[in-house]
Amino acid sequence: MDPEGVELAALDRLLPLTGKRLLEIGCGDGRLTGALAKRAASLVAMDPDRRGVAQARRSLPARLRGRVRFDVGRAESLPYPDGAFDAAIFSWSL
Amino acid sequence: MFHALTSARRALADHGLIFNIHPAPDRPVIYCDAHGHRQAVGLVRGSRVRYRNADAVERRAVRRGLFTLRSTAVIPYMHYVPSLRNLRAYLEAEWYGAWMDGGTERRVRQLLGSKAVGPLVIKEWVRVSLLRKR
Repeated sequence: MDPEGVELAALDRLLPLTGKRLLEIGCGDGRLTGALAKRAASLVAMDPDRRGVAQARRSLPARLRGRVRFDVGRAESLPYPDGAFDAAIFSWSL
Repeated sequence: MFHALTSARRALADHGLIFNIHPAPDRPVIYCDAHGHRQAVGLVRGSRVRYRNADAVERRAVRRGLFTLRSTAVIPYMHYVPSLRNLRAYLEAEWYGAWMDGGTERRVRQLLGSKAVGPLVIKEWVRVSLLRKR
């Protein structure tokens, strides 16, 4: 079984993410980032761990790079404008 | 954790959504595939308080009227490892403060032999909830 696949299938069952402006909080090393980027209109992936973010950036397929922005930061003080996202995903991070 | 939810709420559009994915507080079960059967051999030890707290934070945000709980799902999350040695290393490297006890190791060795090479599976329950901004 593909754990990431199971997780994404569950998200899709609850609500399709296609075409949404997404914020991934706690992207870690990018375990879900690529799959979320495929579905999203745009994605901001963030994590407090700088090394994890660097790894996530490296892992992202080149064809998706234009759709994803990576940030280092903490969930408690998100630096984004009000109303900037349609959905936020806490991925094992709350 | 509560501040993380309120911070995310501010960044969401009207009626925006939060997906909260985290392990359920139940202890993950270790299974061993041997002799044509999948047998439970033990539990992953370690504190699950963090995950209980994540549930509590979510409930608090709903109680305070910040979100409505739209739906939840609990999904099985399977981690496959090829040997007892790999299982030990995996728990140490990838899990926070988790371990398996000596009894579990003994049961795996009894089922798989002294090298304890064979499919081992950790089954963990993961909760996914969908909250809508109010």
